[in-house]
Amino acid sequence: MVVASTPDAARAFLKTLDLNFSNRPPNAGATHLAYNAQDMVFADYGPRWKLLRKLSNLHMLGGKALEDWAHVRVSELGHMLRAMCEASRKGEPVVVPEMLTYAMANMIGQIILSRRVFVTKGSESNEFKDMVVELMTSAGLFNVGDYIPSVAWMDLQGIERGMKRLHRRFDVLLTKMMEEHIATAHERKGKPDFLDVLMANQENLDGEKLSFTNIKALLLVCLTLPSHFNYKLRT
Amino acid sequence: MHGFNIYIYMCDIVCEEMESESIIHQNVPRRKYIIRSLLTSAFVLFWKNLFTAGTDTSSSIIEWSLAEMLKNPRILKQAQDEMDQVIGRNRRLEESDIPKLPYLQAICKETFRKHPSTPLNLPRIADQACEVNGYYIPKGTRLSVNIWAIGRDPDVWDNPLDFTPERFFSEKYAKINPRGNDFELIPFGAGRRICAGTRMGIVLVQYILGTLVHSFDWKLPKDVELNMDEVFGLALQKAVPLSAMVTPRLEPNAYLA
Repeated sequence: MVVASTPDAARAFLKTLDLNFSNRPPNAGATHLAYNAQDMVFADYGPRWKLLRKLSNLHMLGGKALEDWAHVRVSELGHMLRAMCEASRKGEPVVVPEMLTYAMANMIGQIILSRRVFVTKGSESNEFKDMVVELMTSAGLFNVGDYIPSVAWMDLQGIERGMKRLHRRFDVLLTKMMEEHIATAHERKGKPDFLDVLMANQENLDGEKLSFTNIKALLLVCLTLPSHFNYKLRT
Repeated sequence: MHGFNIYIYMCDIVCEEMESESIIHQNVPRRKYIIRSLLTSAFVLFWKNLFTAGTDTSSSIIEWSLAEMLKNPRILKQAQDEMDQVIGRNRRLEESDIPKLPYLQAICKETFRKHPSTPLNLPRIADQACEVNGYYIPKGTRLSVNIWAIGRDPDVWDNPLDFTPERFFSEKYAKINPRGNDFELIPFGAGRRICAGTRMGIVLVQYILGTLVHSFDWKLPKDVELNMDEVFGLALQKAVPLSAMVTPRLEPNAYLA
């Protein structure tokens, strides 16, 4: 293990020797999971990693993609500002990280599903949000078996059982959400969101199929991410 | 989107390989379960990377920045003065205003320097043995870059513990940018493995922080003292979430759009 703690050392490793250090440690998975992973952490430097970078640049992070969703940033920030004005009128404090998390989760929801995850704080909760929150909190559990496969069969913490139950519940919701999404597709003519793009690609050139289940798995993951593996970092 | 199918395909191949090679002592349903969870984890990681990486990290930078300004209201005031001049009080800040707001940009840089959201970056590994400044580095050595220490290196930064956005107007620091080319300030890392969301991170932080500063006056709640403790773990977070009282400072109509 070597630690670069000065600009010169960082330059030596990340510039001069960049290519030699272009991979992540192979077994660092568990460590990474607890990080606020800030990279395509799990891929080795190679075709798959490049593909992941390309995909994320194309749909979210690249200059063109960022411009494409600028209006989402504007409207979500508007919601946040109005909620803050409301708090100000009531003489209540604003909890900064909470407010930012809502705004950003909504931005993501908009890009993927054309849907906001959190309605403005204070208004009535909705089923969608409740499910997302439940999944976010329960999926945040650390499952020993995920990391030490040889003991996975014991399901030491009973997490698998709980997760299966939760998955069934979520499956119902996701199916409903996708049906709704299909039904409202005409409203997004010319402005497809990420899910529209996926649905349109259910069968691609190679005949490789993107099944309904694939898409559901993907959605499930999108919506549960914010706290998955990120357990108890702050508490 | 073609690429996405390829990705799923690759996950399947990985699963098949795993199924044929390893975990053969497990019974079949168990094996399927493990493979399925691995597949899911791959998805989870990919999307988690895209999403939490962009939100938690940007959110933490904005929170720290506001906390520094609450601690030092002069900086808040100066940022607001600059915005009043450039934008006025009749409308919200727009992303296109940012190039005309050097002080806001300096505040963002100063926060990236003092409060990087992933203080030790993510580890890398040496594919081959190599030599650095006369030291032999064996193959397989893990590398961590202490971004946090670099941002507070007294050989580079004058009074590194002070929060002084003005430093980025001095000749010495004026050219330093956090995009991975200036190794004095690398909040997103550098090189091939630089954070994929560098561009988005900078946009989100500048736009959201700028809007919050321009739109409201900020004060601590009565009888609350500002707590600047860091939870120095894998991610650098504020130990106590920032909570503040805000007062709108723009024309009421500006908040409607």
